[in-house]
Amino acid sequence: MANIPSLVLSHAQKNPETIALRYKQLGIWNSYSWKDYFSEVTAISNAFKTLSFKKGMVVGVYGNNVPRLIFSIAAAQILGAIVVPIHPESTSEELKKIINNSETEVLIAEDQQQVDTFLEVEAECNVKKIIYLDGRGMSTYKNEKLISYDALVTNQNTNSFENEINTINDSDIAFYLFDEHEDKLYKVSHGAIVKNSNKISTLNNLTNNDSIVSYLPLSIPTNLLFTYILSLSTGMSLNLPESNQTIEKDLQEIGPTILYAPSFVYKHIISSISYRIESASQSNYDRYMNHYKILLDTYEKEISGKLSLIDKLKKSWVMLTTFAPAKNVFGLTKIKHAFVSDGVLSKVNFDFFHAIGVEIQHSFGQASSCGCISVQPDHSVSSENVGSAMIGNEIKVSDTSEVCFKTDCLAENLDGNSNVNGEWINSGYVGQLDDSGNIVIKGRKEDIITLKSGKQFSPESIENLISCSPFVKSSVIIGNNQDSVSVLVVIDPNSVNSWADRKNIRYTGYSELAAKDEVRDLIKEHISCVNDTLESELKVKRFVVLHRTLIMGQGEVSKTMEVMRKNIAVNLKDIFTAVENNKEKCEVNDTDQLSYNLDIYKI
Amino acid sequence: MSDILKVENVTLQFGGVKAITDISFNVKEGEICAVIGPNGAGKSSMLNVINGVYLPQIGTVTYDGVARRSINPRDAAIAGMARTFQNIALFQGMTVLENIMTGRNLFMKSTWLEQGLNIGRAREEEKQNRLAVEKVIKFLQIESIRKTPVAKLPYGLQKRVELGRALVAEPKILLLDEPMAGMDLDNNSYD
Repeated sequence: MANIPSLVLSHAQKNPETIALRYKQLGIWNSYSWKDYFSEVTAISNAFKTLSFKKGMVVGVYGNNVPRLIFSIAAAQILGAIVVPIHPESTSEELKKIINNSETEVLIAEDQQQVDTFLEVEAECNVKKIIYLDGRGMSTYKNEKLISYDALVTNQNTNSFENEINTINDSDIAFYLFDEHEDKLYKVSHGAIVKNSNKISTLNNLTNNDSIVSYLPLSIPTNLLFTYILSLSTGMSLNLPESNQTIEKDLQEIGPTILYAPSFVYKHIISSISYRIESASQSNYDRYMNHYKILLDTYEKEISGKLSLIDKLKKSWVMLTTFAPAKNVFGLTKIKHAFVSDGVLSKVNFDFFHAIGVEIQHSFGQASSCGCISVQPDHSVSSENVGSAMIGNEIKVSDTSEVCFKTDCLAENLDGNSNVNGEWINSGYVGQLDDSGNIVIKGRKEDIITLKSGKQFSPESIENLISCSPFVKSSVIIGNNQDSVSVLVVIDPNSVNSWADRKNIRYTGYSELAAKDEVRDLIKEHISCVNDTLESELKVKRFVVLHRTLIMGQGEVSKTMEVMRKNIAVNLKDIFTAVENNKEKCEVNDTDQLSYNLDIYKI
Repeated sequence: MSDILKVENVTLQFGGVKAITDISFNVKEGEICAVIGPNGAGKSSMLNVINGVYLPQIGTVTYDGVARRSINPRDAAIAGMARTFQNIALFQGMTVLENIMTGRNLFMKSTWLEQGLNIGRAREEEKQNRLAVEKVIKFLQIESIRKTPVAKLPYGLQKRVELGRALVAEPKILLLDEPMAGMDLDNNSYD
């Protein structure tokens, strides 16, 4: 038997005093043992029972990773309910769509932000109750559907629900997961997602002595699998940071052994290092740059088996004096496995992490495959692939270059599987299999760009190269029906700010900094370097430095910071039109109702 | 609601320069009262009169039912008055947490020796007051900088820290001098 509540019960019986969950509140780390975890879950189940929770009922869990929301998942599932995790930053439109498509009856909201977002669309949804955890700011709310979580769980029965847990079948639906790219909900059974988690833990020898930090919301399917479910299936401790702003410090204090994050988080670590180095004294800056070169040189020799004794001594020295302290600052010292999903790291970033001893392992998966279908083995040295299919899965590349898979951990689309191709499921990504049978993902199928010459390419492959610079936060390729490739560059505010301060460049804000000639030259130099690695037809000929960052609330980036091309093309259509018409300047009437004049630079 | 503060016919002069001329106003409990005026109008001087830094030549200030012309700053703090300054007055070498903890000084009964050695009642007091400080840190969303020395922070964040120090004193009246100066949109919008 492998359902989520039974895993909690099993750990509570076998390892009652082992730490299950740590969370930081008011600056202090607190913990729950598995015994405490189970007793919290059953207390909430008793409370939910008074609201007539029943089998098949859909419950939305809407907020950040806080203990009471985490406990609510298993508590609702004990009573047979299906949980829909909803991202705390979801817009009211997205929330309405998820609630209505999943037929959510009860919403468990974290605080006033989530309650207010829901109240905007309340009239269009059929939600009967809203349970809120933090009532601050809501004392004057008169809505009868609102119930305080604290009031609900006080003075409840003490039923331990062991009989109910035993009646949950593996095939019972545990979650409805929302796939942001496909705009669809998927039905995930208890058995499928736990089985998928077991595959990952067996492949990587994960045990209950490990610990993992979950700092992204559980609404992201890969994050749900790699943190929440993985901690339940292995018994490892799950650690919840204090807030999004304290993650770096919290990681340092916890020192997890397993790290899971989408690719943008690893990129952020690189940018943070760069930002600190740019702010350092000249002597420290020079020393870092020198050590960085030695590190990458010795790493290259190491993977080609040509590491001499002198090289080993050099590497030990730079690790001891520079990179071991840097690893400690970011809480990476004890990391055994660092899983990456939702994109791959560029070669230079991938090599950097491996060189400092952080074993990056790319993975590939979506809601339809319960979060993961393939993962790179430990000690893999290729930055291009995402590993081969895990046991029980099969992967092939179709005639149209689309990656298709079969899996015994399949999640069905709530509206019927439209992405089925015979026995195979279409992933929506194009790619290829390398000589070793590993999958190389090129990008999303719908994003493929066709130049006027008929040349087709995936924009992500070029964007990854451009975005590998610590000064570039993200980039968007423009090229459909064009003679050449152009790119929209979003600069990284932290690292470019530090760089500008170092160069004594004066500016008052982001848009002014982005328009500086020095910044143009910095980006131009980087793109020229990238161009050297590209075939002639795909070389970037023009670029625009955007006057602002991409905004999640306007759908320009996904919850895992992947660019959402369609929405960007709509919001910034002035830039797209000017680039496509070979203009040298463009006036952008942006979504903030202001007008900006941007230059379109040639390379 | 009763008046917590009543300013009557206050006139303040520095030699021949009149900074405030015959000003009167009342502030009720729970009320937000804004003092508006151009540079040099005497806004900061008015706040300094209220918390006793300046002594007006004419007029009275009635705070919490007690009329007086002057009050020393410690008595003002004990009486439940807290303020922030236009020119930030934080301890630059101390961390955010330490700076805000100084706002709890009035709640500590232990001696400086007990506090220095962290013995006796100082330990328990430290825990209780730290909890109060942490609640304000969470409210102001400055968790990520709690261990950062104030000198390293930009002006807008230092303003927030100063507000934090004023809030932890659990004041009856909060005097904010130019609270929005130097704050960006993000800082302005927290509530």
